[in-house]
Amino acid sequence: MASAEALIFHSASSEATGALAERIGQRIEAGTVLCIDGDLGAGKTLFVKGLARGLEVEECVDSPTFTLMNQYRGRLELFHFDAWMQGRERAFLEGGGEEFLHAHGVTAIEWGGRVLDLLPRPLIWIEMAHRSPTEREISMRLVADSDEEGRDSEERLARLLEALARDFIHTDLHRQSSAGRS
Amino acid sequence: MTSANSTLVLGIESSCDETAAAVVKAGTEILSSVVHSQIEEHAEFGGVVPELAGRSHLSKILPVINRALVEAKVELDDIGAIAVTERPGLVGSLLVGISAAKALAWSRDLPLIGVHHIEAHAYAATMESDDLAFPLLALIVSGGHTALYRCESFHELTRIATTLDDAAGEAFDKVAWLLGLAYPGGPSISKLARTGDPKAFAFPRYRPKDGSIGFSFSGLKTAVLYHLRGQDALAPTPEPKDIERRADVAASFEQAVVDALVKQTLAAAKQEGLSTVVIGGGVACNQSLREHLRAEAEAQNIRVACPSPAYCTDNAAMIAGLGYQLWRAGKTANLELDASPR
Repeated sequence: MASAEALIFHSASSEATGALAERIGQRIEAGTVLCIDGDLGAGKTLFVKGLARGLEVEECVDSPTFTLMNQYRGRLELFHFDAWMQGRERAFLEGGGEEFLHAHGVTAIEWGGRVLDLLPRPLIWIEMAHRSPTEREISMRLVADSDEEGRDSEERLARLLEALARDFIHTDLHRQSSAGRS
Repeated sequence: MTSANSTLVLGIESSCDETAAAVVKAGTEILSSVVHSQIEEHAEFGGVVPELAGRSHLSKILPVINRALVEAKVELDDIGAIAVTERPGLVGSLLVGISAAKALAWSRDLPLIGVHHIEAHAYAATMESDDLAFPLLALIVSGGHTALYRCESFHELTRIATTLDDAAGEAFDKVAWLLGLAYPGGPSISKLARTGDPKAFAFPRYRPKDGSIGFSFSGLKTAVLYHLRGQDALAPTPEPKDIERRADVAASFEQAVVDALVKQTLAAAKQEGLSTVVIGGGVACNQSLREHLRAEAEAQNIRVACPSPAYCTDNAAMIAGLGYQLWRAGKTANLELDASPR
């Protein structure tokens, strides 16, 4: 059950990216891990700001590159990690920070690909790519282990992606859906 | 001297990558300030060493405290109180300093004082200029923070503005990485910028649309990336050795950061009616920032106080110094003192 559709969104502006992330924040359930990757300036922090709005976080969300993790109270608790300095983030996760990945909240990890081996499964892998100074391609897919244990949460994440596809299918944001295996 | 009437405070700091201890007399006279930095460890391994933060503090904290006492030529018996950074920072790192401070305070029956790291950065500037009058404006700018505070006293700070995304020091680190320069990015970029033209490229200076006061450095970082890609979002980022006019890029980027910091700081001083500005944090070491802020502030009759570079970056002298003021104001903690990330 590790196969997953990759959902691909085409965002024409930072506002559109924020709106997409905000909708995820509204729909997301406790215990979900989002691993966000993409070049410098691709909009990862902006995406988490939108996610936080959807989670009804009132505080200003800023970059956790230095602090390694920021925690926000909202409809659900948001744990915002950043592994740009992967050595520091690894030391942090291995030294106890890992417990927050399993906390009953929503976890978003910028540059998550750099510490992927430390992240629990299943997770939603979000990749953001520059298409022009304002446009971004945002792809999302489910990444899961093939064991039985994670089946419930895997189905929960699959439902989230399906719901997003429905939400945006008739909008400019939604580009295509392509089959992919993870 | 007995500890009962001692004005000596032992300060301990471990909120981020530095393990530091200092002995300060009566809040301003620095007898010793020892800083063990992990920056060399980061630089050596290109930021990919999995054995940092908390564990490094643990092995360094007692040797650093001992050295602070030896360099100050005092014994633990001479110390009147123990001050320690309680927030904000990495909890695992903070706890190392807090545990050491609690053990010392408990075993010697000394007052324990919890110090806010940001307040201590603002205090640092006042340690070296004893004629500064409150209220004043503090610009705290580092790898993790970029914010302006109105300070009514040493420990009554109200945040006026903060960055919407990246801290200025983080922008330096990331642009340094794009340019193939060493971590930490601030000093590396400044060094290269000296041979470049700060007016070569017009990188954006963020200004809040509604005319309020604020910072944002994410757009600037992206503008540098697009510049390197020849304004083509789909082009690959060039290898540092293939980047043309690297020194001009460094100088123009640094100027954009400095302009944004200076403009917003002076706007805040005007808005708050404050005629004294202090700066602190690692980026406050930046020579260009110090010069431009001083020059533009003086033109508006605003006084600027910058601590020596050693007291801009993380250190324990500022913790001991502010700890003394808090102690005198009766703001001591008990053994339940806990670390807080914010």
